[in-house]
Amino acid sequence: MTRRTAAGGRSGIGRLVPRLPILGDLRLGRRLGWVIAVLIVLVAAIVAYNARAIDQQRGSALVVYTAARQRAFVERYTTDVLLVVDGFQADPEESGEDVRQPVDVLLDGGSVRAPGGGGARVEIPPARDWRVRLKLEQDRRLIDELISTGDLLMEGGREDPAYTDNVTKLRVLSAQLSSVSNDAVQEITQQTEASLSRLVRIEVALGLLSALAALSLGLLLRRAGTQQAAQFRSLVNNSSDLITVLAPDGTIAYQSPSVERMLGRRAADLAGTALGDLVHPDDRHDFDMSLTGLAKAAPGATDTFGCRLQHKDGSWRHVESICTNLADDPRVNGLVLNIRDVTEQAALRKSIGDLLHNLARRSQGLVDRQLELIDELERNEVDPDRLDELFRMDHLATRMRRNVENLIVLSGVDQRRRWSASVPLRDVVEAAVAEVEDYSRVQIAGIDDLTLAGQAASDVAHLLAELVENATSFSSPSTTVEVSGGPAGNGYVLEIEDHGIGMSDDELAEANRRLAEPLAADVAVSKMMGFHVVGRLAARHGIRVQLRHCWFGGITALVLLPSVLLGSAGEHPAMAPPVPAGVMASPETLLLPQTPMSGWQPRARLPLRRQAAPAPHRGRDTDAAAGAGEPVE
Amino acid sequence: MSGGGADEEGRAWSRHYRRPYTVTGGRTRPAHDDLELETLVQTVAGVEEQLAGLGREQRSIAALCREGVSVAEISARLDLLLGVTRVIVADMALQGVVLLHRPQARVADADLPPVELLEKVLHGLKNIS
Repeated sequence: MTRRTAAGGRSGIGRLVPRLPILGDLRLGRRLGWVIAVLIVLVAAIVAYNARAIDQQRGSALVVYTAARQRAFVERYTTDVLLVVDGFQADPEESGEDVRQPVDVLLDGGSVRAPGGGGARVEIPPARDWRVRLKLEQDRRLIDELISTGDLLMEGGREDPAYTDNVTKLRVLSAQLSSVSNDAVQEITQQTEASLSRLVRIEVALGLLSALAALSLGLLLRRAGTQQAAQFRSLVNNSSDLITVLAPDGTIAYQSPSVERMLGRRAADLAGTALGDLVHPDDRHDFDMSLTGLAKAAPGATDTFGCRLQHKDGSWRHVESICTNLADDPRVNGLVLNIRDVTEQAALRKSIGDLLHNLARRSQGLVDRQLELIDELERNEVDPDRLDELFRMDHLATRMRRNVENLIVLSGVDQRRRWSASVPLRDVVEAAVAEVEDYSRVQIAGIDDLTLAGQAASDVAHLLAELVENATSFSSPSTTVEVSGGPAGNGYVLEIEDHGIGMSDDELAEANRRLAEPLAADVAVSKMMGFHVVGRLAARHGIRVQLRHCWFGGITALVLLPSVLLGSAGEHPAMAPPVPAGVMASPETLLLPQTPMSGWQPRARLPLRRQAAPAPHRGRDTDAAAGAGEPVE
Repeated sequence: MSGGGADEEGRAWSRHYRRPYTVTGGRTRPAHDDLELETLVQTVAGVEEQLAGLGREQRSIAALCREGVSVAEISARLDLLLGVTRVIVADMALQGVVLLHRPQARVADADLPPVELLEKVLHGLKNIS
C-alpha cells in the first residue's frame, strides 16, 4: 500500500523521470530523478547559451565591420561629389547608396554582403539597444544631410555662389559622420562586450549550478549505496531466517546475528563451532548425509533438508534449510545455509496429524467391531449364497480397515502397538492379500516357514497389500499376480510379480525415489500415495523395497525383510495349528495396532472376480491353492 | 512352543488379519452338491507328494482325516468356517486326495428305525430336558 501511495504522489518532473531502482527506496529514487532532470536542463541551457553567444559574437563582428566600412563610404562619396563638381568622371550615386545602405541595414535589419566576399550575404537583425539606435538615427540624419548637400553641389557646380559653403558643409558633415560612426561602432562594441560578459556570467552561474547538481547527484548516489548496504545488512540481521556459512570442515565460518532470536545463541559464540552439534541426535545422520553429499556435489549445487536445532533453553526448533555449495566462490569458500524456523508449521502439521489420527482411530474401532460381527455371522452360516454375501461384506470391511489404518500411517503419529509374539510370515502375506480388492487373482507360492517379529507384522502386511494392490491394478484382470519368497544374504526377499503393462523408466525411477525417501514425498501426489505409505512403513523397520522391470513385461516389487525381523517357524508354534479363519477375535485384539493402509488409486476399478465354480487346481509349485485363493483362470 | 501367551497372541494377530474368504478365493459353493455335515472324509493313502503342493488348510485336513472324520468335526477341530470347510473338502475330493463316505448311503437299505420311533425318542428327549 505504501508503495502505491508513494507512486501516486509523484508529480511534475518527478513523474516524467523514470524511477531509479534504488532498492525500493522511493523517496531517494525520486530525489535522484529530480537532480538528474535539473542537471539535464542546466546542461541544455549551457549549450543553448553557448550557441547564442557564438551567434551574437558573429553578429556583433558583422555590425562593427559594417559600421566601420561606412566611414570609408562617406569619404569616397565626398571625394566622388567633389570630383564630379570638378568635372572628373565619378559615380556619387552608387557611393551614396553604399553610404546609406549599411545604416538602413543596421537600423531596420537586412542582409549585407559577407565580409569574406564571394557573393554570400549575411542577415543582420535590427539593432535593439536604444543607445546604438540613437547613434544610428543621428548617423542617418547626417547621411541624408550629406547626400542632399552633395546633390546641391553637383547641381550648382563651381559657379554656385554657395559652392564654398557647401563644400565646407560637405566636409564638416563627412567629418561628423566619421565621428558619429566611430561613436556608433564604439557603442556597438561596448554593447557586444557587455552582452558577452553577461553571457559569460550566466555560463559561469550555470556551470556552478551544474557542478552543484552533479555533486548532489554523487552524494545521493552514495547515500543510496549506503542505504542499500544498510538495508541488506538489516535484512540479514533482522530477518527471521538464518544465514550460515559452513567451512569445509563443517564448522560455522559466518553466522548471521538473527540466530540470537531463533536459537537464543550469540552469533559470535557460534563461530568456529560445528553446526552439527546443535542438530537433534535423531536428525544428525540425515543432516550429515545432506551436507557431505552437497560438499561432494558440483559447486553451485543446492539441497534442502529439515532438522531440529537446539535452542539455548534446551527446546528444539524445527528448521528447514536451503543449502548451496559455494566452495568455488573465494569470498565464501564453503556451504551457505539459509535456515528457516518452521516450528510453528511443524506444530500445525502435528496437530493436523493428531486430528487425522484420532478420527482414523475411531473409524478403526468401528470397522473392527464390524469385522467382529461379520466373523460371528460367518461362523454360523451354512447357506452358500448368504455366506457369499457375508464374504463380500467381510472383504469390504477389511479394505476399509486398510484405508483407515493407511490414514493412521499418513497422520505421522507413531503409535505402534507392539505385538511381542512372532507371526508366521505366510499369515502376514495372506493377510496382505485379503486386503487387496482383486485378491482372487493373487497366487502365493513358496513362502518359507519363517516367522516375522510381531511388531512388524501389521506394517509388513500393509506394505505388501499396497504393492499387491498396485500389481493387480496395473495388470490385466485375466492375469495373475504372484507373491513368492526366497532367502537373501541378509534377510528374506518377497517378490510381487505382475504381468501388466509395466511402467516407463521415468515412472519407475520416480516410484523408487519415493520408496527410498518417504519423508521427502509430496502427499499431494495421490497417484504416488501408495509408494509414499510403503516407503514410510519400510523405513520404520529397515525394510528395503524396490521396483524392477520384469523380463517378461510387468513389474516385480522386491521387499527385503532384514534378518532381525525374522525367526524360523521351528522355534515358534504359530505354524503348527491351522489358523482358524472365521473365528471371532478376542476383545483385546480388536484394539488393533496400526496396520494396513491403502492408497493407490487404480486407474480403473476392476470388478471383484469371483469363481462361480471351483477351478481345477493347477498344482502350481508349492501351496498356491489354498492360501490366497485360487487364480481365476 | 514357547509360552502359550505369545503363541496365543501370534494366533490372535492371524485371526484378525487373515480373512476366511481368501482360503477359498471367495468361493462358498462346494463342488459337491451332496456334501453333508455328517459326510465322512478320509485321506487317501500315498498322497504325501500331492499334499506338499496344497495349502495349509488342505494339509491340516489331510492330516486329521487319516481315520475318517465328518465334515462338521473337521470344521470344529480346525476352527474353520463350515462353509469354507465344505468347499475345501469338495475340492480335495475332486483332486482325489480324500474319499468321501456318506453314512446315509451305507445304511440306506438296512432297517432304518421307523419315523414314529424317532419321533417318540425326540419326544422323550424333550421331556427329559
